[in-house]
This record gives sequence, C-alpha cells and structure tokens, in this order.
Amino acid sequence: VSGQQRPDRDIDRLLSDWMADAAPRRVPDGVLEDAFARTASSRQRRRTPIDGLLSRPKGSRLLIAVPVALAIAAAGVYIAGHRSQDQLQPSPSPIATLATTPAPASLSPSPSAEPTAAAPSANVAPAQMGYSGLGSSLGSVGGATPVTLPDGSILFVGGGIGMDSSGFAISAGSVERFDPATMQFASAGRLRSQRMFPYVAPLPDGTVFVAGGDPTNGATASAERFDPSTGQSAALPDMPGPRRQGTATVLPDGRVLLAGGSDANGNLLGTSLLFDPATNSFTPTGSLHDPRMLASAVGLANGDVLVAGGVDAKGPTTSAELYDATTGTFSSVSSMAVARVLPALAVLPDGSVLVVSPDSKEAERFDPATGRFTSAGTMASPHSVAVTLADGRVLVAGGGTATPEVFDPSTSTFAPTRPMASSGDVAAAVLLPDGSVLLARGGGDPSEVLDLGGVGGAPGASPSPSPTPSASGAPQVPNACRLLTSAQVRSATGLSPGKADPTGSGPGESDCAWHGGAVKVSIRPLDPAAWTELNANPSYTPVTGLGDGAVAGGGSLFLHNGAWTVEIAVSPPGSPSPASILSAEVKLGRALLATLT
Amino acid sequence: VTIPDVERAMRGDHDAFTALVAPASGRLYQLACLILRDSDRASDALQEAIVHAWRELPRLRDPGRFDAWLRRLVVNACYDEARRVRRRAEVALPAADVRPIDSEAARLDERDRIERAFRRLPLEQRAVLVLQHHMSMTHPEIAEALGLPLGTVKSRIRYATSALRASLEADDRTGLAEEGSA
Repeated sequence: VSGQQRPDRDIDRLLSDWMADAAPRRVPDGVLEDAFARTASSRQRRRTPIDGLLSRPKGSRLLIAVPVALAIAAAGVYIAGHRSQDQLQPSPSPIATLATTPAPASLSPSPSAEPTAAAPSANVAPAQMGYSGLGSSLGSVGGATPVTLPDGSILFVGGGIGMDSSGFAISAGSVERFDPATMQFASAGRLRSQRMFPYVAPLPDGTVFVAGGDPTNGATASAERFDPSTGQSAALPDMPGPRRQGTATVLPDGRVLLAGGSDANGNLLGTSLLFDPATNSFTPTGSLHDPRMLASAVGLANGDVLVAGGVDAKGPTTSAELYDATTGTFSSVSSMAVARVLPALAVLPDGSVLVVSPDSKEAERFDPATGRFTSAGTMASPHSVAVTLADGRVLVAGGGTATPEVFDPSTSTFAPTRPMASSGDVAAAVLLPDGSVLLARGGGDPSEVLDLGGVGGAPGASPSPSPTPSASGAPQVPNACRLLTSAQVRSATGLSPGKADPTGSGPGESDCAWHGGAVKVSIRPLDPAAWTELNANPSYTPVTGLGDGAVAGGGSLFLHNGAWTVEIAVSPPGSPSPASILSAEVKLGRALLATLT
Repeated sequence: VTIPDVERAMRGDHDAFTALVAPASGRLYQLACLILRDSDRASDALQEAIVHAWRELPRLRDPGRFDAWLRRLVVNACYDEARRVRRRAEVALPAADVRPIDSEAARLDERDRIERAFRRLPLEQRAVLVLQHHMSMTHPEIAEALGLPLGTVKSRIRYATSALRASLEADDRTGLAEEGSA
C-alpha cells in the first residue's frame, strides 16, 4: 500500500486488524484487585441531582449538594416586611406547648421586618424529634432555590427535572410549591425559560426575581419576575451579559446583589450587579477580589453580605469576602480553614454565621465583628444543608448521611438527631411556619418533615405521649399524610405512590388520599377507654417490644400506645371499607414504633 | 448485566458491583490501552474509572445503561490520564502485553506504521476509532457512550480517518525517501 492512495475501507480494515493485535489479552495482575480494594473501602456518593447541574473545572469532580443556606443566601435572607427563613418563628402549634422566648434582635436585619414573635425554647432534645414522611416532589426540587413566601409556603425555583444517562439533572423551567398546611408539593407554574443555577431572590412585592442560569449548556443574560400568586412570569430587561452559578442576596433596601458566577464559556466572573426592583434595572457594583462561582452568600445583620467559598481560578477556595452595601465594594476577610464549594451558611442569634459543607466534618463560624473564621466544632459527618431553627440552634443535614445533627451555638457542639427514613441526600432544608423543618429531596425521592417537638407532646414530656388538648379540648392527632410515606402505602397496597392529598380533616381526625383518591389513609384517635375493649378483642395482636398492642379487625388496624389509641386504615379504590392493613413500619409520634406483619 | 444486578450495586452491594465490573474489565482495559497506547496508564485509567463508577453509581439514573455509562467513564478516565502526562513529549511505548506477538516482518512494519499514525491522532479521535473498530459499536452507540451528538461522532470519525490516512501516506513517503537515499 506504500505510496498509494488508501481508501477509507482499507483504513478501516487496517485499523481493525491492528487493534485486534494491539489490544492486550488480559488485565494485568493486581489492577482489578487494587481497584476493588479501593472501592470496598470508599463510600458511594448519594445521588444528588444538583451534581449534574454544574459545569465543573476540567479534571475535577466536585461533591456538590444544595445547602439550604445557599438558598437563604441566594434568595436573600428576607422579604421586606416579612420574616425571613431565618426569622420565621413557629406559630403557636395546636400540638405543641413550647415555652417561648423573644427572638434575638440580631435576627432582624431588615429595618422593616416585623418584630420577631415568640419562639420556642431550646429545650427540645434531638432524640425527641420525629419525622413525618412525605410524598416526593414533582421532580424539580433538586438544585432549586427555595424561597419562603409570605403565606409560609415554599417555592422551589430553577431546579432540575429528569436526568440524563449519567444521572445528571437536566435543566428545567418548572416552579414547584410546597404547602406546609397540606404537606404537599404542587406545580406553581413555569419560568419563561429553562434555567439551571439561576440567580433567585424574593422581592418585596411578593414576586420572585430570577435571572441568568444555564438554559441547556451555557448561560443566559435573560431575567424575569415570577408571580407566585398567578403562576405567571414577566420578562425583565437582560443583564449586561450571560451569567450563572453566582449568588443573589436581597439587601436591606430591597435591591438584589448578584455576585460572581461564570459566563457561558465557564469563565469565572468577579463582576457583580445590583437589581433594583423599583425600576427593573441592573447597575454594576463593586467586583469580587477573587472571581468565583458556586460560592454561597448570606445577608448579615449589619447589612453586609458575606460571600464565602466556591470555585476560583485555582479550584475550590477557602477565601471569603464581605460586600458593603453602603460603599458598593467588596473587601477580603480571613480565609476559611477548609475549601468549600457551595457551603451552607446559617446566621446564628449573635449575628455570626455557621459554615458547613460536604467537603469536611469540620464546621466553621464567621464573626462579622472580627472578620475571621474560627472552628465551630466537628460533625459526625459532613453535611450539605443547614437551617437556623427558631430557638437559634442550627440543623445540619444531607451530605450522604441519614442522620442530621443539631448545632448548639452556645457550646459549639453537634448532637445527632434520629436518623431519617431515607439516606437519600437532602436538596434543601427549610424552616416551616410551625417550627418543623422540611427536608426536601429531589429526583423523585421522598421528602421528610422533621417535627422538632415530637407529635402531641411538649418537650420533656413523658416518653409515652398523650394527646394534647387543643383550645377546644378535642385531642389533636397528627395528619396521617405526615405519618405515612407513599412508600409505606405502596408497600401495603402495591399501588404506585402518588401525592398526599389531605381532604376533610376535622377536630381530632384527619385523613388524606394518595394518588387521586386511589388509596385512602385515615387516622383518628379512639377514646382511651376503648383500650379495654380492644384488649379484649379476640383479634388482638400484641406488638412485641412496645408493651402496647394492635388490633386488626374490619380491615382496620388499631394501634395503642399508652394513652394513644389510633386507627390506621388503608382503603383500596372504590371500597367503602378498608381492606388492607399496613405491613410497613409505622412511626407515630416519637414513641410508637411498630413493625406489623 | 441485568438491571437487578445494577440496582443491587447502586444500593451499595460491593459484591454485586465487582460481579458487574470484573467480566467487563478485559474489554475496558483493551479500550483504555488502545486509546492511550500505554499499558501502565491504561491500568491507572481503568482503576480510576472503576473507583469513579462505584462512587457515582447511586446517581446513575438508568440502570439499563450501565455498560454504556461505564465505557464513558473509562474514556473520560483516559482523557484525564492523558492530561496528567501531557507534559511528556511522548507517552511510553506499550508494555510487553500490548506488543505484538506476530513476528512477520511485513506485518510488523505495517503495524508500526499504523501505530505511529494512530499515536499522532488526538485522544478524542482515537476514542471514536477504537469504539468503532475494536468495540464494533455503531455511530449512535458511540454517541451514547461518549455523550456526544451523532453528527459530532460522524464528523470526528471522518476527520480521524482522514488524518490517519494522511499520516500513513506521509509515513509511506518518508519510508520511500529513506529507502531511496539508502
């Protein structure tokens, strides 16, 4: 063939023959053994839909989750005239009688913010916390920025929906809303364009600012204003250039600071913008000293904005900067001990900021007065999200472990809570109006709500909880939708999980339906005096280890625990009476735990 | 590979994972060797891909695509490995088990020419050629395995083939010239 024109088919044959000869016959000894030794000693990462949303520096793989603090920071800490997520105080709960103390003044960065209301005391032991399983979100929670609306519901904006063959999330324009009253996720509308990692911030008029982001594979300069009340979004003027993966923080005057990020080509941005919601206009402001993307930011009590971590030109960074809204400039502060990507930032009652991230078990604390980070103790596991509780402590969760921890700022110590039902990573943790915490998962994984006071009892109460009388005297029982996960219903009925759809709850009774009414699960308290009768029932079934009992009869399952007696019934479609009995683990409140077969 | 096997591995069953990977390791190692043309680097790339696969497996959305996903990880690991050795002027010669056993002079000569021409190709072009000619994958399969648009795969193969042909012809001309001067 020398000196001749080689046709492609000749090349093809030559290549095939050459490769057949050149390919090695076997893997060298020790290669697989070494690889499997490494995998056996390393943990698998939990699926974190956010992972795929990000453009990563070449050659590096970053463990990235969505810290709730990013949401708090990116969304801004507060809506003028409304309390922020950090500031949200639980409303008096009908099922909890928590002592109250005034909230720290430092948690009121907004001059226009309402005075903080009563907050529960810090005497809720982590071990007393109870979880309630929820249905899964509609799929766009992963990677989304949660925004707490004035009515207490949570808006998830800019998340991913679906994944490609590599398990990476695909951009979405969907907006999802979580209603704490019904404990449901529902569609809240759509953005004008698909955006992954946009700049998101709540605006004073209740609308939500959304700008930039990655529509498919790049970045956009477009911006819009989403109105949760209508589900509609109005176009805003474009930003000066495309950007994504930066931070958005509401300033005390209502303007939004957009800091850093990356452009359509992945180049780091040090530039920052101010969005004025009164004029719908963007103006440049000071630049970051260290251009970065995937940082986190949070508004401080003095009006400054802390921007920490992220990825700079050298990779994950320890650096942090403060934005002074009065001068419009950034200044460097001391570096963190750990390089952190998308760190979770939580404002503490004294105005300092707790910093955690999946990068390390070591937590840090930023003191705005000194501009320095100091150690805040060591967690049992690294965590990806953090939320300041109403009592000033901080719940940290996610990061591939099922066990959240509670940080006590007075002692700089972490204490584990009860494990969640699932170890699937947490995309966001948001404080709900009743003081419980929504631990939201994306990717179709079920979310959970952590009830800080346990169901039906005040903190420090007897281990055997009793129904807590409400103002009307009627015993209060938890919403069945919060007791049973769709997975449990599926286990009991074989039906596909749907969305919990509470309907018609009355005093002392609540029920909810799964999958459009296909399965009805109800729970209601029975008269404690009925226990004697139940115990005498021939179908009485002791539940080992509880000292309590269960009675199965008429398609219903009666559980008794101390003063609690409840009925849990699962009804198939169209059936007037329950026909299935839950065989899954049933967790009721903080004391009743039964596995029934 | 069955989906239940993959799902077990996704849930952290290491034995299931090794049972999935071990049978495929030979072909994956061949893939890495052919792309990198260096046995040691190919071993490193294979190890990195396996470790990466284990860690990232829970995030695999479609267990039915495990094979394609694993191939992509190996190719990506080859790219990473090559970047690490980019400072070298030339990657090392293939180790003993990559060298040809055949002793026929003409065939050896032809092999050497292809070897040299192949080494001149960018890694991205080597990868598509190996997947096509050694793994016998179709263009759509290559596109899926590498996460590339179909058009990109086709054009990359076309460019790679053209470049290889040009390189071989240049080599042929050099050889003729050397023979003439001798």
